[in-house]
Amino acid sequence: MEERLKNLKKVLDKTAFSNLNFTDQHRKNIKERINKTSESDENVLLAVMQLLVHEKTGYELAKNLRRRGIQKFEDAEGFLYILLHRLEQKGYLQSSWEDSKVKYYRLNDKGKRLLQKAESKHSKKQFVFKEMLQE
Amino acid sequence: MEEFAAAAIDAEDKDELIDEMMTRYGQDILRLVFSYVENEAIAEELTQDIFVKCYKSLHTYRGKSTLKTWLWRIAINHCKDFLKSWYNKKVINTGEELLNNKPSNEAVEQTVIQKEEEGQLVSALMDLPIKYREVIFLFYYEELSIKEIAMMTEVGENTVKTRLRRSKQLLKERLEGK
Repeated sequence: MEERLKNLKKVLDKTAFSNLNFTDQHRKNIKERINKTSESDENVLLAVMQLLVHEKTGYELAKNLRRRGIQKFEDAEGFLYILLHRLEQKGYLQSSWEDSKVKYYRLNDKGKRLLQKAESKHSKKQFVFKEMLQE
Repeated sequence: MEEFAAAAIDAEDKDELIDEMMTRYGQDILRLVFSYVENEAIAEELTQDIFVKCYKSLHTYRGKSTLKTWLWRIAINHCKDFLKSWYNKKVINTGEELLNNKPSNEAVEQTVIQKEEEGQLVSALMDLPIKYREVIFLFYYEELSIKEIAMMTEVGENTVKTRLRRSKQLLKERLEGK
């Protein structure tokens, strides 16, 4: 058995794997899908930041995002709070509690500058957000 | 590769890294996936999913294993999820094209008997349950160490050894009679 298994590579390569090729077309498809997902992530971030120019609760923010047709947080609102938390930690948001029940979020000056940068320089946008989301 | 990986992630240049990974591992991953799903079209589809997934999770790579081990683990889990999925169970009939594959030119020159033996080995392997098939594939085809296989399949090294032994026994029973 051992002997036969030592030939397994040769055998599989010329039988089951003989028509199996990772082609340039596959690479292209992968790149396209990657670009699409990162683009939509950027749009979500941009929308979040634009909405937080004025103070909002997480709930209000989610409602507004939905109105803009962003479905990323549907049934997954936890992700929105993770994002808010991360933005806060990175120093782009300021938050305040009301009656220690409701938390309000708003872009601070650093956050507004980042938003400006992202909106004005489209080509730089990706770089800006990558920088922001780096853990 | 690992240095390259660290440098690239530092520079946030994930695009370059994913290109490099596709060049190095694209073909390997496609074959690995095929060994699980036994269907070319599905293997191509899942391979693409896997690289997209890999790109999206690059920021979680902590350098605790090699980048290759990490990628293989993503791929293996993706394949197993697919095999467990409703879609696979209800919609797809896998395993038919394996034996219909046309042999390459080289194979044509082989004797009929040898081809038969080879075909038997391949179909006996593909008939094995996943947990046995994967260790055979990773050990004999990819020539990975027990330790690497253990990390990729997320079981202990002793489990890998036991499964390897059991797989060989099963293959022997099927190929050479009991």
